[in-house]
Amino acid sequence: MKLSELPFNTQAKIISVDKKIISRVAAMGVIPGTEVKIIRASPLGDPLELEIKNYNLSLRKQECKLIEVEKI
Amino acid sequence: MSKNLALIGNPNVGKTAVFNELTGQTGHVANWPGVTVEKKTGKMDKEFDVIDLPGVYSLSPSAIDEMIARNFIVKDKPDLIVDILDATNLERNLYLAFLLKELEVPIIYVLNLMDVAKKRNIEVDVDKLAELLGAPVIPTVAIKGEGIDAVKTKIRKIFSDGKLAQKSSIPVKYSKEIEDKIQRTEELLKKDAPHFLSDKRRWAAIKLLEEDKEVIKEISASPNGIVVIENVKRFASGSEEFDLAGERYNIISEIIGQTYKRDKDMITTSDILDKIFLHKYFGIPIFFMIMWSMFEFTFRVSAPLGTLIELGLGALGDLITIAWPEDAWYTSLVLDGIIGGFGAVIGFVPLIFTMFLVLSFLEDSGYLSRAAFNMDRLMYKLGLHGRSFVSLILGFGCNIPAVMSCRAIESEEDRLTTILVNQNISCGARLPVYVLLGGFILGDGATGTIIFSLYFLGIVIAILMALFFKKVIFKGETAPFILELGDYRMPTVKYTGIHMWERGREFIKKAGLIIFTVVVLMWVLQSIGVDPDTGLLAWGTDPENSLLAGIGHLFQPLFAPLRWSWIAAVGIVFGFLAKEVVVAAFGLILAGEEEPEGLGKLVVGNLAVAGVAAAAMPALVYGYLVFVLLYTPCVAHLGAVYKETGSKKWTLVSATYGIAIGYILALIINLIGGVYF
Ligand SMILES: Nc1nc2c(ncn2[C@@H]2O[C@H](COP(=O)(O)OP(=O)(O)OP(=O)(O)O)[C@@H](O)[C@H]2O)c(=O)[nH]1
Ligand SMILES: [Mg+2]
Repeated sequence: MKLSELPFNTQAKIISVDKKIISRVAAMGVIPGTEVKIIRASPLGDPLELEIKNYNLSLRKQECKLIEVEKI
Repeated sequence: MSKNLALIGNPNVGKTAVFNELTGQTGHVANWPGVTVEKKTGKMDKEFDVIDLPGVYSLSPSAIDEMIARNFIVKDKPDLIVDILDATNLERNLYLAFLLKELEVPIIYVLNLMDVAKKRNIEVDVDKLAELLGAPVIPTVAIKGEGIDAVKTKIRKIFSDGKLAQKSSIPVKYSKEIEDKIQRTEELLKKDAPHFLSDKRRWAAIKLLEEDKEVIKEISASPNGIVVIENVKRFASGSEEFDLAGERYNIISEIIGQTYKRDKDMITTSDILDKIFLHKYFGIPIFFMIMWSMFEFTFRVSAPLGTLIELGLGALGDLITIAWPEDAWYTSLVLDGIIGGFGAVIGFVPLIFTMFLVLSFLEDSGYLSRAAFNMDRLMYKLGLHGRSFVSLILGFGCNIPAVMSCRAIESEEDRLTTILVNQNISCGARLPVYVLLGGFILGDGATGTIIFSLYFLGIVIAILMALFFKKVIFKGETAPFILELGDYRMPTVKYTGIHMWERGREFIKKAGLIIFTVVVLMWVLQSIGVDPDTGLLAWGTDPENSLLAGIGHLFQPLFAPLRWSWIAAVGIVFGFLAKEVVVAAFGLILAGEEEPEGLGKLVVGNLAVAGVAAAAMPALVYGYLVFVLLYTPCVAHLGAVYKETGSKKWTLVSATYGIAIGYILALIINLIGGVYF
């Protein structure tokens, strides 16, 4: 499923990342195989706050749609 | 020749704090990513030039500040790279460390934020880490200066031994598949573009495989570069960027596994604070409350100090009146010029400083990136970016650093838009004018409301202009919002103090140089005038006939439709040099007149041309304040806009649109307020 569809506070693993954003997010640890969890959405609904590699990263839903994950 | 040491690392890991400790300087340290946006050099031991760089996550830049850092590392070939790592977030920080390793340049690592790591029960095996990284690792707590001596000693030793940590440069080995591709690319480079990054050929090969935009651009410009790119495409699958990132993180995981222990379930203070500040329902109200209390605090704390200064200056003035000859030129200079004009500004110093203090606190706390997170959606709707929001908030202090901070904004369209709308955010220098005149609109008690309405109006205009620029002129996609939400930190007295002082120092420099000079200039212009009997220029004529009044009368027709007097015009014209001067001009021109109720009352009495009804004065004064809010902040701001946009056209747009909107609004307010009937 897409990361944007992942329920909050559910641990998942990244399967693939769209090439469009890879150069921007790879260095931040958003690469296949990494575990990720959505902690919350911004009060206005977007962006989302993720927990990844033990730190907190914020991405818009739009970008989260380009990231495939599976629950673990 | 002095040696270059480049400080690099992820954003917000304490690079500038380390820089300050190494060089004894006071660079701007704050708790949000993207504080440093240009390179800054300082000296250590006379023989080393230490260069503080903007933070980066990788060597493939996407914003101007990152480009500055990347180019320095890749092109300027520093003698030693000092990579600052965040001990609380080692895994991601090591990614950049590996990218640097690939460059095969001398490097040492500084493991900063050890105090926070300790608090979180994080254990790092520093020796093992150094062994695995193949270079020295030195733990530090930069804001307390801990470990800095060890860093210095290490640097000195590396250079005196002459063996520049070369062994650190054991190349990173990847899987056979990748290594094959790297090798083939290297061969292609050697054959077709032998001079391209010849000392970093392996690195160039890796970057070509990753389709790094900068390297592709650079090689395309070199002879046969295109051939190399075409040939690499034949065997590259296009997923190398991915594969390499994956492999790097795999190696890193291994290192982390051997050297790093953390308590996974520990709930940090930051987590708890985020539950409050980013709360679904309370997050936004809390944001507004924070902004409101910022202003509230600023006014309440500074008011008594301001009054004290005014009283002091008043007493000094009385003393001088008694002691010095009344008609001496220096008496007039000191009484009218310095105490009347410059003193009018000095009375507001506590206000401006408190504002700086509050902003520094906000910046150091870590809340700003949360504000960006809370507001990104709104900004996005305006076609902007959460990052733009941070720049806008900085504008409350001074629009110039705010304009510079836009370098961290990725998309050029967003960056230009944010630069151009920033001027509407009311800076500290405009505040004195509001405070002086704000009480004459709805009465003394409502000064706060008036001031708030002006700030609010500035924000509204900024939003509308952003919409206009982004939808009409700079059409284009907004860049993705990729923002790290780092830890909150309790701002320390020392650092918030230093930070306030940095800003305050700029202000004092400005007050001392620009404002003081302009005031003296205005005083001279006021002292020289046309003698009505002889028609010649003479010293000490009636102020009404002075050159200053002449300038006022010259410009007054421009403001005649607004019914402003020549005194109002002088304020605006000289206020262009620095907004504080508006108040100073009033103080100087009206210094001779008696008004027990203070300067504000005097100004209001002299702001309009004859014939404006007293009942319409509140509207006229408010229109004046709106104009002061919206017209060009100051020449220095225009300089910054020119420097950052590199375009005369946009600088001109910045200078004129504010004047136009301010003028139109003042007209409308006059109309509504009955100035014309
Ligand atoms: N507790 C603690 N805080 C630190 C330490 N070093 C830096 N800080 C704080 O971390 C924040 C970031 O410090 P900076 O020096 O501005 O970081 P930077 O790496 O220059 O950041 P950018 O210029 O944005 O890339 C500030 O709030 C500092 O006060 C440390 O060793 N311990
Ligand atoms: Mg910095």
